[in-house]
Amino acid sequence: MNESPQSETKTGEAGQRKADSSWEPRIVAFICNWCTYTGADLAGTSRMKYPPYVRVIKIPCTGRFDPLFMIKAFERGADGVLVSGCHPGDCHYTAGNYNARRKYTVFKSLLETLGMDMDRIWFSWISASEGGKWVETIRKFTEVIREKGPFQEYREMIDGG
Amino acid sequence: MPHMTLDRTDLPSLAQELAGQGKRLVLPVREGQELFYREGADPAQLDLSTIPKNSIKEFLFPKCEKILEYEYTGNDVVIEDVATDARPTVIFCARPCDAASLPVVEPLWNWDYKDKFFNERREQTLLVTYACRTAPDEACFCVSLGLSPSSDEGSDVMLYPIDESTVAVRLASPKGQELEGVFAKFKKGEIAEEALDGFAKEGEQSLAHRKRLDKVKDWLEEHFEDPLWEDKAFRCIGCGTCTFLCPTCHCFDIQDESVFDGGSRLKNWDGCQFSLFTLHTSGHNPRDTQSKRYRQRILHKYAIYPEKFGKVLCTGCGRCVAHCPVNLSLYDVVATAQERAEKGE
Amino acid sequence: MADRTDGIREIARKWLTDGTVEAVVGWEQGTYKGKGAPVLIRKAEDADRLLFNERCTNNLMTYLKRDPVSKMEKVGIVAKGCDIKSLIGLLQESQVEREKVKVLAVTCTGVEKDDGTVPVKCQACDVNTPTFYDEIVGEKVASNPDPEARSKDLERLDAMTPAERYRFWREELDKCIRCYACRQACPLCICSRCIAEKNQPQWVETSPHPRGNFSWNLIRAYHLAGRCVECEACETACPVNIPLMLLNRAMARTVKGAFDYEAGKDPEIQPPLRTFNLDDDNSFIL
Repeated sequence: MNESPQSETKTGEAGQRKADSSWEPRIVAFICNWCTYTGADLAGTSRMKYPPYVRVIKIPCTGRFDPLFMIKAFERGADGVLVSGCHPGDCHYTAGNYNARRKYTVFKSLLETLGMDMDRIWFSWISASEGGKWVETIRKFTEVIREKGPFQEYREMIDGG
Repeated sequence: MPHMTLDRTDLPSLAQELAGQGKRLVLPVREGQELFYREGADPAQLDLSTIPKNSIKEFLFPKCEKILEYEYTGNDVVIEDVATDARPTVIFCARPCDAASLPVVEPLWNWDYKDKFFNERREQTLLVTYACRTAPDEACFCVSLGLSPSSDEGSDVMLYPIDESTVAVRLASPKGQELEGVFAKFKKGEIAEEALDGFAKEGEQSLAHRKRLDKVKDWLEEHFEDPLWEDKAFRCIGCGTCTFLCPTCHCFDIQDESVFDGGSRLKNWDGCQFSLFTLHTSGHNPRDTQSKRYRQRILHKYAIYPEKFGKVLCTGCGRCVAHCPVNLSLYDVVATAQERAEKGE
Repeated sequence: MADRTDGIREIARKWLTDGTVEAVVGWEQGTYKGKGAPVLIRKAEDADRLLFNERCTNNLMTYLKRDPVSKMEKVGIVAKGCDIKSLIGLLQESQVEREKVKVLAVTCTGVEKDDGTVPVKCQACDVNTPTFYDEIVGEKVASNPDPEARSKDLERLDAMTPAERYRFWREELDKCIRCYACRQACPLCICSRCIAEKNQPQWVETSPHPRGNFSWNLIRAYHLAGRCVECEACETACPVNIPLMLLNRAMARTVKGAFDYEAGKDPEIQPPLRTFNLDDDNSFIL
């Protein structure tokens, strides 16, 4: 059954999910096609195991990343967002990740100003050969989010929104 | 017939008494440099120094409300009605221009469709109005609409601040009269009817400089293409401030917010000054410039609405004048129309 | 500052008579609390409607994006130093041709809002005597910016915990009624189709509920980061008194700290998000 946040609003079971012991972290990862996505693919073909709570959204380059994607993810019930791409200097489109890096700096500061829990937002550079780093990052992130629980600040707005 | 008076300092307690247990209480309080009507505000913070920036509209017609929910089940859609959140409400110390807005918009909400959302809230609202001794702001022009700073249009109870320490009470509607006992608890003395006439005159005098607008409708209907529109509306930046602060503006947008298997339908405030308001899906926009949109606003309020419902869609509260970021004064525009009509132009 | 009035009228008259411009955007006497009100003068004989005083608070550069000014080939605009900064921003982004706008600058000792207070921008002003203009009116005014003016309010935010800050912004942003006065008044909100107006897909929910309001105000602050010149048109226009400048100033501080960039100074330099440095801060990225 699709447990969308909207169904919480519909059935009025707003507080339910928070207390629900069956809650698992919901992580959305925006990853660039050329590096991180390929790295994640490598993790897969190498049969490396990692927690299954991450939903991957492939973008051509981190330069395409728009903070609005992150907001939308949170609005739709994500508890954590990861943005990952090629290492500086290795961008398939030469400089997309450099532009992204500046965007991250600005957006991160904005979210901090608004009081968002910045531990729920991670940025990383993971190359096509770093299947191991992908696995490690997801593993660690999942643990952090599991520890913190559902993203209350956004749940409040989804339920009450 | 004499009217009872009470101590001004008793107003917060009176508010509390009227709200009793569990009623929604709305009253004007200070926030920074301005006053706002706020739900659930502390009666001890009651501030009557001037007219609040917002109107009472939001308490009967909220800026965003859910009107139904839907769920997709296979090929079907199941629609679930949503109960309104209407509950017994006391709006304490509304201004006469706000109270008067309710009889103006009631026909609209009951025209081709009886809007239960507005009606249920209206029915459960007790409106206690605080008359203005003199116009509280230089933007006020209620007298131009045939109202006055002590008008009882739309009110259940009237409170008249006859001096610094005394407030006279008049129970203006059957709903108000039922509460005689509650008001009597705070009775200090009595005042003759004639004293209230003097009070009313003082209020009207403070707005003696405002024009009557009786010729505006006809002028508007005959001057659709007048250069006045381009000239006056230049400065309009198309923000929604006048529309959203106006007690009588009522346009709304319906939005569906869905996720995969269902969602909610919401009713949100909308405004005719936005550039997208009349944009068709074809791409054509009959009101594609601000001067056309502004003309529409004035026409709707002063010609079309009165034609349809017999009342001007305005109570002269002056908020559009006071808070327009570019000082586009609606009063100035209609007063100009009146002047031109009087001159035969 | 009444002496500027004569100078403005003279230059406007001259420009309109000799065809330098099709029209002049300036201020005339308004009708509420003595404020100045924007006016479009097309004929030289109407130039006497123009004036300038401390109640001319609007940023007239916002009219560049609007009809009829947007369609004009040459237009004159009366402008204070802060207003000119926003024009510089537009020039940096190639949103307006330099030749189109004839800047009629005024020296300024600060403006006063409707409630009699002096805006932070005036307390922090370093452009009392503009240096970017076509003509300038008024005696030279020395700048004496208060170094704390822009950071005072931010300190209050800095002192809060994230949870307190979230609650603060929730309280403020829940008030938003989505009138878009902030966007309309802003000279740098120039998108012909604002992100909030796009509905395929609906990126920013239009409903004025907490979630929609959070999204709108957040995105607007982000889209202005590095571009906002702190003219305060948005906060002044907001009918529900949201402290928008807190967000804008926080972003300006970040951009200054991270990229050593201040908006509205130089029309030739690249805006910070259009460019990058090989050694931009990487410390927060795994």
